[in-house]
Amino acid sequence: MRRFWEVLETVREPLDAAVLKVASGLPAFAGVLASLDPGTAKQRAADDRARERSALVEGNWSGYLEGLREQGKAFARMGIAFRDWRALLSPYRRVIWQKVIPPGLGDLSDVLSGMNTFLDIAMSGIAEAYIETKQELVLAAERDLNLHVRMFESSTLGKLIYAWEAPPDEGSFRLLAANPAASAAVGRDLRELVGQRLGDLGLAEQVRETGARLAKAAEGEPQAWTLETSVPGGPARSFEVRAFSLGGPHVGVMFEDVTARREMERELERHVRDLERSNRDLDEFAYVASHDLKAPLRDIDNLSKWIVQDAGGVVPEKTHKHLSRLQDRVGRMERLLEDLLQYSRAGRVKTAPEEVDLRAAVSSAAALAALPEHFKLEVVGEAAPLRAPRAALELVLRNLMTNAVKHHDRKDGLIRVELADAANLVQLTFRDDGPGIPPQFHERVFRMFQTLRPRDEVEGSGMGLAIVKKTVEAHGGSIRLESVPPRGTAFHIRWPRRERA
Amino acid sequence: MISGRTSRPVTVLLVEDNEVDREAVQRAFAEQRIANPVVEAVDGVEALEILRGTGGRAPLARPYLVLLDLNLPRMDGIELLRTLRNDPQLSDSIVFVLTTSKSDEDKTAAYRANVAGYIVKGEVGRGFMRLVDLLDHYWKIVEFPEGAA
Repeated sequence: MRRFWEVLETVREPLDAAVLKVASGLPAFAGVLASLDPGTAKQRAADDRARERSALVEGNWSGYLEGLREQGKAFARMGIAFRDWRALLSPYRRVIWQKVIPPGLGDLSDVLSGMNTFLDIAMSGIAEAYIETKQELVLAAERDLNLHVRMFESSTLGKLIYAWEAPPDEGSFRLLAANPAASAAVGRDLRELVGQRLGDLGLAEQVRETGARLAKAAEGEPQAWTLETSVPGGPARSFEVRAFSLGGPHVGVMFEDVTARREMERELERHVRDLERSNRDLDEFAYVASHDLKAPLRDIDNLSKWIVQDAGGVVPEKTHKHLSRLQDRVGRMERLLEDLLQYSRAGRVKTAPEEVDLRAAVSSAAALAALPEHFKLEVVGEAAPLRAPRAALELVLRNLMTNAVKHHDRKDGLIRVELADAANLVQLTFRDDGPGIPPQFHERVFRMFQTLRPRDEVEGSGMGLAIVKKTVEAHGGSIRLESVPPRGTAFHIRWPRRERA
Repeated sequence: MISGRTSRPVTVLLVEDNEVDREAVQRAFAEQRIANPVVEAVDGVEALEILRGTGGRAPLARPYLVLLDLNLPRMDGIELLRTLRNDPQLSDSIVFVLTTSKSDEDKTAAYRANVAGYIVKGEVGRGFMRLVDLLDHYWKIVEFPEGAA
C-alpha cells in the first residue's frame, strides 16, 4: 500500500487533470464544478489527499471510508447516479499503469488490463444489482409505510400516539401524533397539543385517570374504558377509549364518541321499561277488573233468580221474559270476564315447559273443546316432541277448535291439523272448512272483544283468538291467518322448539 | 260425649260484608229447610263483639261455627282468625273460610290459622247449595268443642 501511495504521489498532477476531465464530461457534475470556487476546490483536494495518505500509509481506513460515505451521501442528494460516480475513479488505473508498466511489457499490460476490466464490470454489475434491490425494498417499505400512515390519518376512529418519557410519572406521557378523527371527536385541533405532556393539561380528574390507564397499557396491559366528559355549559359526552402498548415507551390510543349511541341505548331501555310497565299495568288491571266485577255480577244473578222464585206467579209474562234476558246477559258478562281474566293470564302466568307430543296435545285439546258429534278431526304429518308449557299449547289448540265449531255454518265440519318440523321450531297449520274470514277482517279477529257477527247470533266474548295470539306470542311463537278460497280458514302457527329463557 | 250434638243446634256466625251473599246463605238454609240459627256480622270487629259478648250482650252460645269471608272492612278475615287463635276463650272456634279469593297466599294464611276448610264461593254452586249440604253433614257427624272451662 505504501508503494502504491508513492506511485500515486508521482502521478498526482496528471491524475487530477484526468479526473477533472472525466467530471467535466459528465452533465451531472458540470453544475457542481461550476459552483465550486477555486479555494474550496483546492481545500477539498487537499483533504482528499490527506485521507488517502492516512489510509494507504498508516492503514487508517475508517477515516477514508467515512469520507467516501459523506461524499456518497452528498452525491445521492444531488441525484448523481452511482454509475457516474464510479466513472470518476477510472483515470486512476489508466494513469498509474502508464506510469508503472515498462513500455516493452505489452503482454503483461494486456493481461492486467483485461483482468481489471473484467473485475470492474463484474463488480459494477454486483454493486448495481445490490443497490437496485435495496432501492426496491426501500420503495416497497415506503409504500407500506404510507399505507400505515394513511390508516392512521384517514381512520374514522380517533387515534393518538403517546411516549412515556419519565416513568413512573403518569403525567409524563407526551403526545406525539393525533389523527384528524381525534380532533373531530373532541372538537378542537389536537395537533396544537402535539409535543405537550399530559401533566401540562390542567384538566385534573380525567387527565389523571387517562395517565393511570396509559401507564397500565405501557406496562403491557391493554386498557378499555369509557370516558365521560362535560365541558361547563356544554353537553356531556361519552367516549369509548382503548389504549395499548406500541412497544418501548410508546402507547397507542383509539377512541370514539359514543354519546349518540349511548343516548339511543338509554332511550331504548326507557321505552322497554315503559312498555313493560304499561303491559304489567294492563294485565293487572284486566285481572283485578275481571275479578272484582264478578262479585256484583253474581249478586245481580242471585237477585234476579230470587225475584223469579219469590214473585214468579205474580209478574206478567213480559217481565218474565225480561228477567230471563237479564240472566242471559249476566251469563254473557261472566264469560266476557272469564275470558278477560284468561287473556290477562296468557303469558303472565308462565308454567314450566315439559316434553309435549303434539298429536297427544291435539287429542287432549279436542276432548276439552268437546267437538260436536258431526265434526271430524284429522291430524296429518309428524313433528318431533318439543319442550313447551303443555297447558298454554293446549289452550291455543282448544280455542282454535272452539272458534272453528262456533263459526261454522254447517252441522258437520272438518278440522285438519298439519304438523311439520322446521329448523328450531314446529309448524302447525290449523285448517277448517267453515265459511272463512274475509281478508279485511284478518287483523281485527285477533284483537280483544272483536266478533264478526252479533252476539245474539253467535254467543262469544270475542276474546278467543286474542287469547290465542297473546299466548303464542308470549311463548316466542307467531300466528298468521290465511283464507283458503272458496271456503275455509288456515291458521299458521310457528312455535319454538325450545323457549328462550 | 254426644251432648254437643244432641242438646242444641249449632249456630252459624256468618261474617260477610255483602248483603246479597248473606241473603243467599240464608235462603239456601231456608230452601234446605235447615232451621239452625244464623247470626250475621258485617266485619271482623262485629264478629268479635258477638263472639265475646261485648256491649251488654252475652257471648255467642256454643256450639257454633263461623263462616268467614276474607275481604272485609275494618278487620279482615285473616286478622280475625289470628285474633281468635290468640284468645284462650275463642281459640277452639271452628271456622270455615268462604271467599272469592283463589290466591295461594290467602289459602296458606287461612290454613296456618287452623281453619276447618277453605271454600271458594264460585265452587259451591249457585245459591250456595253445596255449602249448605256440606255444613248439614258436618254438624251431624262432627263432634264440636265443649268450650274452655
